[in-house]
Amino acid sequence: MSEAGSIARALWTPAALIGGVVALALLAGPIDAPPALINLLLVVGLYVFAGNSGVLSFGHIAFMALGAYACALITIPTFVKGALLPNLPGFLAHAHFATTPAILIAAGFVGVLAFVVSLPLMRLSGLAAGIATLALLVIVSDIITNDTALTGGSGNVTAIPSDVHVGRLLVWVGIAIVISFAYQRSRFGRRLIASREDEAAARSLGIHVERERRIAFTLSAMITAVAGGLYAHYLGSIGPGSFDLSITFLIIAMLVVGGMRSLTGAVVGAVVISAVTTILNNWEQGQTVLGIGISLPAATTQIAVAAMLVVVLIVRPDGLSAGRELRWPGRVRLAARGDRRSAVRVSK
Amino acid sequence: MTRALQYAADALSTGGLYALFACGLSLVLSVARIANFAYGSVLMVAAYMLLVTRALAWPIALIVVIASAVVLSVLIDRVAFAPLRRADAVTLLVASFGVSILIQNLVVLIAGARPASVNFGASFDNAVSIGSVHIAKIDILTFVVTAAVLLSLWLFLTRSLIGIQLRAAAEDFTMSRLAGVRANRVIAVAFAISGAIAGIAATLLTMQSGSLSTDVGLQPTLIAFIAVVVGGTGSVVGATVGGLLLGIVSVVLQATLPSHLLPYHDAILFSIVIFMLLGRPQGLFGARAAGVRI
Repeated sequence: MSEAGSIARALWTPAALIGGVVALALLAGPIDAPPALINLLLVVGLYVFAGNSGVLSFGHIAFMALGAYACALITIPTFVKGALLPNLPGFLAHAHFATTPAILIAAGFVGVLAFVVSLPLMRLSGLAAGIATLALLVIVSDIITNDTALTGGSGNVTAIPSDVHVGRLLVWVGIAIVISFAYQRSRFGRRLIASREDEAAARSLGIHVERERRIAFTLSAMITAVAGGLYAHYLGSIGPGSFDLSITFLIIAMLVVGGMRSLTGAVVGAVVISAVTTILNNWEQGQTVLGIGISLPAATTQIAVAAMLVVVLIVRPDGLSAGRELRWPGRVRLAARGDRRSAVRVSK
Repeated sequence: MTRALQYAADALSTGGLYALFACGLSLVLSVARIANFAYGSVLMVAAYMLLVTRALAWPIALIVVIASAVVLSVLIDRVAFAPLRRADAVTLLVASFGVSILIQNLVVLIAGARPASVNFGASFDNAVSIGSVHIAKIDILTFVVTAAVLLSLWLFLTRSLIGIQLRAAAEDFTMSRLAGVRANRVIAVAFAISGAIAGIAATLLTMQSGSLSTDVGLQPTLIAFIAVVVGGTGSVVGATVGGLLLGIVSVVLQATLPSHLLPYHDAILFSIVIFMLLGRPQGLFGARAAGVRI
């Protein structure tokens, strides 16, 4: 009993999170659910690095863009590609894959790239690293906008097979939640979390903080790339404008409002903010939600999200989840509740 | 030769403007430990104030623009950052990101998302000729104003009591409080000066471009952040020199890149920065042991 119980407890968090997301996605329906699920995937991707390391990245949307373009370029039917992007290099012009292998290839490509980029970036101190990732976003969007042969420049890449629906997204969200949870329970994840709680103490125990950050950065970039690939295959058309600071902000807001120190927080934040933005967006476009129809000016959604973010930071700095994971109901283990908020924070 | 002189003038003007962006940001970063993303929105609001005050005489307009930037900057600190004094750096960064999006969209709500044109200081549009070198008046003005601002900032920080308190707080905040520096006051002063610099920078930037949009603060903030990382976080002088270097390298790239690479100007510039950080992760002027000392 006790062994079965402990396995059940270990699997409880990811299982409950996935169950909740599936239920809500079915409730939201085939129109509102897919964008929210893609955002959820992006938040989980960002969480793997930012949540476990305590270093915020402003550049993750670059990996989403790279994943989306890489995936699009190898799935557009070759005869269409010849007309759309006549100057593609040979191997890309002839490449044609089904969606799922293409997403995996794109994730692998982005993973290699993220690892290379992490070599200089993860040598920086936490704050500087976060800021420098912003440079990465600028570099990538600059290249996408200008490399006309590869991406069609500032125009859109179209004719991507749009074959991604709620079911497929839910499978990927489930995989991402399981990977993310397995990572944070692994020794790699635990070492990184230790360095987040107290970097100096972690170093003194022999933890190679830079190496742990590089591992998380690469894994998190790969999940983000998968979200990018799915995004391309959901919309069927992508352009450089889709990968800008406003989506960066939205994803960071979701992570922080939910609480960036736990996977539960990442998922809860994504769900709550997605619900708010979906409703407000519909109102902005003059539609009725739940029988209420208000017409709102265009900037309302962004203002609401920004206000929620600032208020949550002031009132509940560790987010809605307060940095805790969902626990096995009923039995509260006091020892495990050693409150993280009471951890001494070294002020620098 | 003529060409080289022309580029030198360009480099000084761009570098000066970037240095201005960077020193305003790094002042708050070094004193209050806030990587203040909302700096860009203060700059943007100041630029819009140029539009609001276009009917006034220019000295009055200028005073209104700078005063409003100062007030907004201090207000942001009081409302958003003061409740978060004990929070860690990431929380503050995220809060400032939220504040900047909030302000930007409030301006969209009020002024609309369409770009507007401003002809403040249109008399600086033409160029002066020295021999065969043509230098735009606005470039000369930018350089002179930057030099004046940096010089007075330096005098303020080294000669006035509150300036010395500011530097003490930047060095060791807790220690300076024990020595009698009033925490909220130095932070407010840092925000006020940062706001004033944002106001001046916004005026120069708008005079150069002649147009306005709600994302006008984005590029300067980005430049300032990168300059701070290049120069070393926590050092105002480092950030200012970082901004100057960034501007000079940017103009050199503009002058020397073959034309098919020119569109990648920003990508190349920031790649150079990332490569530089590979060798000096603490920045050009950062202390070697930037980690936690126990």
